[in-house]
Amino acid sequence: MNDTILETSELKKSFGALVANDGISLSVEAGEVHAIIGPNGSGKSTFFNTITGFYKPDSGSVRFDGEEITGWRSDRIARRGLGRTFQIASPFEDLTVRENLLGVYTEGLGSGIRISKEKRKRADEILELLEIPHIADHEASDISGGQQQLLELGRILMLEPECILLDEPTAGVNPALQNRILKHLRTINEQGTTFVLIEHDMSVISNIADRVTVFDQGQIVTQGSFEEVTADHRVREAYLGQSDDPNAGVADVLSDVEEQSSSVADTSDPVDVPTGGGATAVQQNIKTPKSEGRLVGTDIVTGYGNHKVIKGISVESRDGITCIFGPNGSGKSTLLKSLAGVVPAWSGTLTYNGQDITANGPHENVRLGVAMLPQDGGIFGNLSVRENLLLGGFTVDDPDVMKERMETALDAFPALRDKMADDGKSLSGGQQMMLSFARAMMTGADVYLLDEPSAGLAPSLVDDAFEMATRLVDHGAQVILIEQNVREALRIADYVYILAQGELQFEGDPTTLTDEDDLVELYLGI
Amino acid sequence: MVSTSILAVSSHLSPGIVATAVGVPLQSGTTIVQLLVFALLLGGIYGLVALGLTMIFGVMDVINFAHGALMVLAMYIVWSLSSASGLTPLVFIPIAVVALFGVGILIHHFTIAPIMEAPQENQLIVTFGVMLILISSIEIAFSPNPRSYNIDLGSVGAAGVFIPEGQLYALVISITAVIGMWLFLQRTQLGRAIRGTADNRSGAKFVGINIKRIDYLTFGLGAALAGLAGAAIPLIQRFDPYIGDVYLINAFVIVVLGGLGSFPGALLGGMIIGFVQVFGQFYLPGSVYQVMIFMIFILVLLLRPEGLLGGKRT
Repeated sequence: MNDTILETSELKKSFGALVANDGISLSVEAGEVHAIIGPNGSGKSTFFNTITGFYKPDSGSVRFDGEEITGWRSDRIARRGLGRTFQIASPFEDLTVRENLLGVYTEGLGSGIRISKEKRKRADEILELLEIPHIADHEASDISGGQQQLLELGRILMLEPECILLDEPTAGVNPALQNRILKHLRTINEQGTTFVLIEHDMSVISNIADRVTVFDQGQIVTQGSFEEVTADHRVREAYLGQSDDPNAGVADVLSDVEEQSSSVADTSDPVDVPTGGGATAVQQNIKTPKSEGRLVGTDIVTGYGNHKVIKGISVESRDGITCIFGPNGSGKSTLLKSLAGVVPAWSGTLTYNGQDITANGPHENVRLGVAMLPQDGGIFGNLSVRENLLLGGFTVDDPDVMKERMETALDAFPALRDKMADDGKSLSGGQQMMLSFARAMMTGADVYLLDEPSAGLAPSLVDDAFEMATRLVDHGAQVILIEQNVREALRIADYVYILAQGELQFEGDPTTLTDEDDLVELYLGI
Repeated sequence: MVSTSILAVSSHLSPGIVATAVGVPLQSGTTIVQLLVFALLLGGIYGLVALGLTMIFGVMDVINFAHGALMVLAMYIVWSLSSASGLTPLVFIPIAVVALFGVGILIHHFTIAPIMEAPQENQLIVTFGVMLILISSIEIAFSPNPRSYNIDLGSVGAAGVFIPEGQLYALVISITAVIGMWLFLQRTQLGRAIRGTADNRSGAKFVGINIKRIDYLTFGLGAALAGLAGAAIPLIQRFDPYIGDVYLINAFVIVVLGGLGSFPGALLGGMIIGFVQVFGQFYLPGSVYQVMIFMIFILVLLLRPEGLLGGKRT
């Protein structure tokens, strides 16, 4: 158990200015299940791609089974015994499941001409092992997403690899099939195959991983057992966002909130808007009747293709800022898109001021008063700032209303006044975000859905993004905000939903989230 | 007279619109003005064809191979209405434009809209099929023989400079359409919505633009622009069912030259190719002007692969 089978040293890979892997030294012991976790963009998939020869590392080396494999072609690495699967299973769709297995190029050129008896036997064994012989003769395009993941695993097993890198093997798979995949992984592991897996689902990690390595911003943060790692404050920071004081828990953050949110409450109407946070706010909240939700989603189920992402969630907009938190892949963005009408709900209902809008597209919802800011801002790069704003008012027919809104939007974001003739793409990241907010205000919506407005911005601008969200509230809007940076967002949250694995883990006043351990548990969906 | 010689030559088939003038280095004022007029009108026609093509590509990500066939359809609509009624073809040009708008909407509705979500090559193949159907139908209905509008046009002259009337009409039509289209795209909310959708299709949804409707409008307008350019071409040359090919190929060159999906790029590219072709045909021997066109094309691709006015689409 103590032999190192896979070892990287100081592995570096950057794309332009972005350093995706910043000197990663990791060793994997033969026979273990080694999980790699970390927030989006922390470099996990790049790490896999660099090890397996899909990318060429800028520097550093990879050793596998006692041999230096740095810079090898990916097919050679695979035949050497280091297999991998991809996050999105991509079988040969027109071939049957069995043909997919037999199509694996096991024995060099010869295998392209004649399929040996041993190979057929191996394929049958794998079908048995993965318990999918009943679909052996189905075309790969006809089987479910979870079965495709199994097939993906099966194809790699054809190569009889000593070590397999799995990129989110259970993403988008229903729980029953997920358990089966895990069971198979364990069986194969007991037969001696080493696994390294990237996974967002913490229940999977705690279930199967012997050791966990945490990535953040291209570096290894820490390593250890699942329990050790989740208790580490650096890990929490990586997931929940930086706080000014790295030792500050949520309780500290929330006491900060008191001052900040009371200033927000001053500018808005303190009677109508029970702005959250702080002890006084809690007392207020208890007395204030629950605010009227304009946008209400009930039992929303949705997803993409045959992947169910949201498994029956009820959310509604409230006065102030409603935050939706959750780890990567928990379905936050999908939920928001479904509320906006971009991703149609499979079942459940969506109402706006009592009117059923379940079947509406996004353009119809904008007309009613529900506007979404997509994660990248969605601005028109080749159109001027003025034209961006004018198009924001696409649903406005009255020129006077248009003029008035333009003034309101520019008053809220005065920095845009000097940029009216500039192309959207010439603006800085922060200005583009402003434009995106101002353009959304032009729609005249009173419910805004914000998809991680702080994503991709310099840390110094994150506060600005939150401040802009509060400006929308000042103008009487209800805001639903998705955010990765939980600690920062808690400062402005009036109501919180926490999602994990497409299900609601928590909803309520943020002040009830005083214990960070609870938050971590909810957040990671343990 | 040079004016008639150019008219005679230009009533030949494309692409040698003003060819064979080499060896007659007559550079009177009339010649220069005629070349200028011809370059402007050809540039305008190219620009219109390319604008329609690039709009459809920019908004819908569809490469419309039927674009040349739509031009030809407009020619035959004008020709048959004019022949049947005995009226001047000029009055039927607007009718052809409106008809082509409708044809564009129908083509989009029945062939492209149902497969908008499919991979790009599907739409490309479908438009190729539409082209074959259109051209073959025209061939069956009207025979492959060359035709020309039943219109007798003289020259307009002032201060010793004579311009063939057909060219003048074509010039007025194409330049008016270019300016009108430009104003529509820049100044109206609907035009902006088309540009916005071309720029950021998913972003457009979030400001309340119904992008499916924009698709219909764009394909209709693209077809109408092809129709307008097509209907104007017989004013300067004879036509047959296959004349669209040359214009389509040139339009592809122009679209890439100006920048894929760039509307001003299409108009600028059209003008450049129009000028190079007309002046090249006059001053350079044989088909050297075509070498020039492709030299410019290659040079632009080398130095500015995104095209003259092309930028990264958001």
